[in-house]
Amino acid sequence: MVDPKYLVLWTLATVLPGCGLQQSTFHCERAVAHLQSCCDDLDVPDVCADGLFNDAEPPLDSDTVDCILATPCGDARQVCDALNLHQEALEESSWLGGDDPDSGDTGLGVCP
Amino acid sequence: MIALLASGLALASPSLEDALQQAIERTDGPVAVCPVGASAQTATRRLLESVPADAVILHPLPRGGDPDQAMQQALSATRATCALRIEVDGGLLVTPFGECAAPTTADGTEAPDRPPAYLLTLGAARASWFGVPVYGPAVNAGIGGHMASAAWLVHFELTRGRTPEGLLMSYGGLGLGLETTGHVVRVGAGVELTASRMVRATDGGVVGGVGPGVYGALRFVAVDSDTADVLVSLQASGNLGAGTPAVVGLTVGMGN
Repeated sequence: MVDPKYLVLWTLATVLPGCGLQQSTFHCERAVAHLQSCCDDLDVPDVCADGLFNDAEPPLDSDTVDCILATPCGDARQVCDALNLHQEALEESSWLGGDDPDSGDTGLGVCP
Repeated sequence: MIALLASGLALASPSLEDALQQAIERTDGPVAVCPVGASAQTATRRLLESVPADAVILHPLPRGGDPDQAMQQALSATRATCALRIEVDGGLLVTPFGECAAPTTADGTEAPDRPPAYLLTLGAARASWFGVPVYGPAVNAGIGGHMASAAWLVHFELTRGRTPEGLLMSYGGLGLGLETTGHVVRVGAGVELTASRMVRATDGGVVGGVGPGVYGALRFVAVDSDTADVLVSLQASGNLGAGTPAVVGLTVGMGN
């Protein structure tokens, strides 16, 4: 027989609102995944926010994500370079303790 | 009540002693023994010599009348929860009533103990993550118990796949469901605790969450068997919280 306390916990877990993946994070990761198939040197671990318990918006807005996803690999070099530069700026900002280098501008100009 | 009383199973004469013994074993209190007519009384008195006196209450019945009604009255009069109606009709017939009556199937044979309800199907699913389709393998499973014409299940489902860009996505649910047990079509529904998960492209980390969810299923019985039915299952489920993948799966497997 199931311990009643586990039944209560399960019931609460199914009734209470859940937490999960943020839509903006998901689409940002899709854009990066697409670029990874085009650029071997793409290394941008910080360009998409955690998405979970994190209010920070990913740096790529939906228009930029759509643009990146529509960019064929042959035209992706410029976009990859721009994202790599943005990653470096994020790292420098983190070291210096400053603000997000592109806060308020989630387009980044990475996509033509 | 009448239906319950009428669910007794007639037993042949050689098992009269066995029937009495089983009735005593199945019942907490004394068993009402109700011989109908003088011949049955004679046979019954002889039989009762071999059982403890406090285990039975002798309650003779006259011939005629409605047997079910007479036995109901016998149960009330003796305050017993189990009664045996003993008649002579070409041989001794013993019919248990009340608590000790054996469960019977529609054709009157004794119903076997039902095994636990179970479900295990494998197949493919299409999950929609924020509108992006993700295709992959799926498993639906459950274990529980049978009720009258339904079964309750501790239900489990899991599916995973990749987005067109290559992100690895997983979705699972663990919950409780109620499903019909028809021989052609079965309908099920339930609530789940769901978990969604994504392996990030940026750093390889895992992000996801949990939340409440529901599922609904339509299962077709392709092969109907006494022990394991072959089921073709169409199941839809979704996370009601954040992360919201909606999943539709077509799976094939076994159940009962």
